[in-house]
Order: sequence, then structure tokens, then C-alpha cells
Amino acid sequence: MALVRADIVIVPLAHAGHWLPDLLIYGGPVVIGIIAVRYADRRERKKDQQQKKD
Amino acid sequence: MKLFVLAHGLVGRTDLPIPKWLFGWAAAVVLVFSFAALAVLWPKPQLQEERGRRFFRMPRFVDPLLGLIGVASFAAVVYAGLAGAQDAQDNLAPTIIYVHFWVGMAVLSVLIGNVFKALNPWRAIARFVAWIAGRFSKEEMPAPLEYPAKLGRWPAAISILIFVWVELAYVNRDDPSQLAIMALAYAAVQLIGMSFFGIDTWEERADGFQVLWSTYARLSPFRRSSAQVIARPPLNGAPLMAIVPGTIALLVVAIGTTSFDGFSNGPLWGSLGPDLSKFFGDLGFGLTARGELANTVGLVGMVGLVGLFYWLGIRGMTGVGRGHTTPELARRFAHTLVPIAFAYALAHYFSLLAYQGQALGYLISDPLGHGWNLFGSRDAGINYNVVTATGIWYVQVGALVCGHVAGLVLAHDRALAVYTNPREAVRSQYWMLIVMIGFTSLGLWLLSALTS
Repeated sequence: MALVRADIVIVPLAHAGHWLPDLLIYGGPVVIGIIAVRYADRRERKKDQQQKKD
Repeated sequence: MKLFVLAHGLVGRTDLPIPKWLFGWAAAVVLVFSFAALAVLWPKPQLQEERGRRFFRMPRFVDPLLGLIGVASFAAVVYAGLAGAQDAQDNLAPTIIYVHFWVGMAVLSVLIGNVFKALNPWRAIARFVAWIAGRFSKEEMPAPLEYPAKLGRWPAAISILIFVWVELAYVNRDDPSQLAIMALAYAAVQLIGMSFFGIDTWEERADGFQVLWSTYARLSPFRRSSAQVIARPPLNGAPLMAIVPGTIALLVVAIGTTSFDGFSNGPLWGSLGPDLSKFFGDLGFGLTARGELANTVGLVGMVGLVGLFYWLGIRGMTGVGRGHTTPELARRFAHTLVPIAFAYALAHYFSLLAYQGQALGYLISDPLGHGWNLFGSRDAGINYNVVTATGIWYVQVGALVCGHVAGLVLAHDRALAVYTNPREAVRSQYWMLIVMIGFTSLGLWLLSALTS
């Protein structure tokens, strides 16, 4: 997250070593879930289209 | 030892057999398995119609008695706040308001049903005044005004947001006299609202605390039907909730504000908060205002993020089936947020309730902090061994996982009713699964950041 001011951009990344690994670890299941759902959704749609054609 | 702690998270050492982050992944796996089990074992809607059987008849005297207890407790808290020592540790008001009222009532609502409806002091006063007026007035009482349908539960959502703003952002959050004045102002607004729009209508739509706790009470295995207490399957009340405008906002506020409470005590906010505060300081705001503004931005931002996440999950569902729009599905699945909101509240505030809740023992003997010993328990302390840090962590994880599994169950059951094709129903729930995993991970991350 960046705070934009008139002349300078602050990127508050102090202590990032404390929270960034946690954020990645706890965000992992969500990212994997989104990828899996998008893949499954696409496959199901293709299957639906194939059924319609048949 | 007397110690007032408004830092809600647990501070203590935990001895866990596996690292905390692994709980996050294990919770996600539990949700995926629950999702698969629901897809296979739950082929028909089970919760869309009201079920239950009569459990017992509530004696007539109970409601007036509980109303009287509610009014007396309210009067005691306000009096203690105004006349007692102006110190959060020694005064009854802050602990009762933030611990027993705000957290305890939520837990009671889920365990035994909508108990606040009977205890609600402003409702009891309004009913008593209406009864007196009806008894002594020669003419018939005028009918209440029609409550604007567009308002829905928005007044309730806004009042909960304001209450949590006071708790988390306002600098004098634990000043007993200010809390007492705010309680009086809130009661006055409720009484005016009830006099205009009718007691029951106002209480079902606009009284923030009543609306939120009656929403949580929908998860309870008990409900009231006039004098009868009905036992029903847990969660059965949630799908029957009328989703009027402001309902989603209320639930998003409940989840978002609890999230911010955890977030504001964690390392990320410890990094962001001072910079945000400095930004407001550079704009010319004073020391107090800049801290309050930074917390306000964080609070509203977190509520917005939670709302956005729910909206995106629902938006993903619109790709399945035909004729379903995002707003329509958002309303139809809004009740799935109820167990999540409660799970967040329980997980986050359990340690506060377990530890600070015991302060009632000494505060009841000396409510004003004047050195009284009314019941001989003035020297009672807080036993921090009542539950260990590890025990609290397990309760937090259990609450989050059970709450989100309950959300999945409600969503699956509703999907079976919304989508005629069972395959489409399951497909639509892929996105709800992501929403649940996301909220679980967020909750566990916030709590792990607090306890590490």
C-alpha cells in the first residue's frame, strides 16, 4: 500500500519481515483456491458447451 | 490482581505441537472436505423452511422481570459512569459495556436465543409507557408512522459502526462518564424512534444492538413464538431472515470491525498506522485527531475490504446458471455471513470474555470505585489460569472453522433452492468456498499476529 502525498510517495514497509511472510503463508490457501476454482469453472463450461453441441 | 485490559487479543505464550500457520492450511483443507461432503451427502434443501417443536412455555412473569432487570442494569451502568470514579479499572461502566454487553450478549444470543429482546431496557421502558398510555388514555392511541422500506437495517448498521468506532478509534473510549452519556443518548434515540415507528418495527430494523443480536440468535437452537419456546435445528433461523436493505451492510460491518480490532493490534498496522497518522499530522490535525482519523480510515477500509471480498465471491457465482445478477445473489446468500460474523466475534473476544469478564466479581461489590464492599467480593481478582493461552488458541481456531463450515452449509442449502440443477448448485458454491477459505485465513492471520 502506498500513500500518495503532494510531492512524495511513502511506502510503509518498515518491519515487513515480521508480517510479509505471514501474509504470504496465510494468503496461500486463498490464491491456490482461486486458481483451482477458475480451472474447474473453465473445465465445466467447456463440458457444458460440448454437451450443447452434441 | 485488578487489571483492566482493553487490548482484546491474547497476550501470552502458547505451546503448540505444530506451527500456527499450519492451522491456516489445515482449516482450508477442512473446508474443502466439508464442501465435498456437502456436495455428495446433502442433495436436497433442508433448512429453507421453519422447523422445530415446542420445548416449553415461558411463564408470564419472566418477560416483565427480565425487562426490569434490563432497566435496572442500564440505570446502574449509567449511574456508575456518571457518579463513579473516572477510571476504567475501578468503574463498572466500561467493563459492563465492552465485555458483558457487547461480547457476552452475542454469545448468549447464539446459545439460548434472542435473550436481549427480553432484557432490552429501552424496549422495556417503551412497552411500559405504551401500556400506561393505553390504560389511562380515553382515546385510542394513534397508529405509528410507516417505517421507510428503503431504510431497512441501515440505521442498525450505522449505529454498530459508530459503537465500534468509539471502541477502537475514539481517544476517550474508556472514559466512564462519556460512555454513560453516550448510552443515554443512544437510549433517547431508540425511544424517539419507537414512538414514531412503533416498538417492534424499530427494534427489528433500527436498534443496532437488538438487530445484530437477534441476527446471531438465528443460529441458536431456540426461538420464541409468543409465550412458547421452540427447539429447532441450529442454523434453521438464518435462511428465514428477511434480507431488507442494510442487512448485508450490517453483517459486513460486524465482520470488518472485528477484523480491524485484530488488525490494529498486529504488526502490519503497527507499520502502516504511524505513517497514516503522520499524514494527517502533516495536513494540520492535532495529536488526538490524527490518531482517531488514522484509525477511522483503517476501520472503514477494513469494512470496505470485507464487503469487496464478499461481492467478488458473489460475482464469481453469476457465471453459473442463467438470469442471476450479483445484487440478487448477494441478497440471497447474505445469511451465510451470519455464522462468520459470530465466529469472528467469538474467536477475537473469547480471551476478553474469559479474563476481563471475571472483573464483574469485584466491580459488582464496588461499582463506583469508591471502596465499597457491597457483596464482600471487592478483593476478588482475575484468575488468568482459568484457560491457558494454548486453550484460547484452540477455541479461536475451532470457532473460526466451525463458523465457516456453518457458512458453507447455509450457502449449499440455499444454492440447492436457488439453482434447479444440482450440478449448477455445486458449481456456484466453488466461489463461496473461496470466500469461506479467505475469511478463515484472514481470521487466523489476524489472531496469529496478535498472539505471536
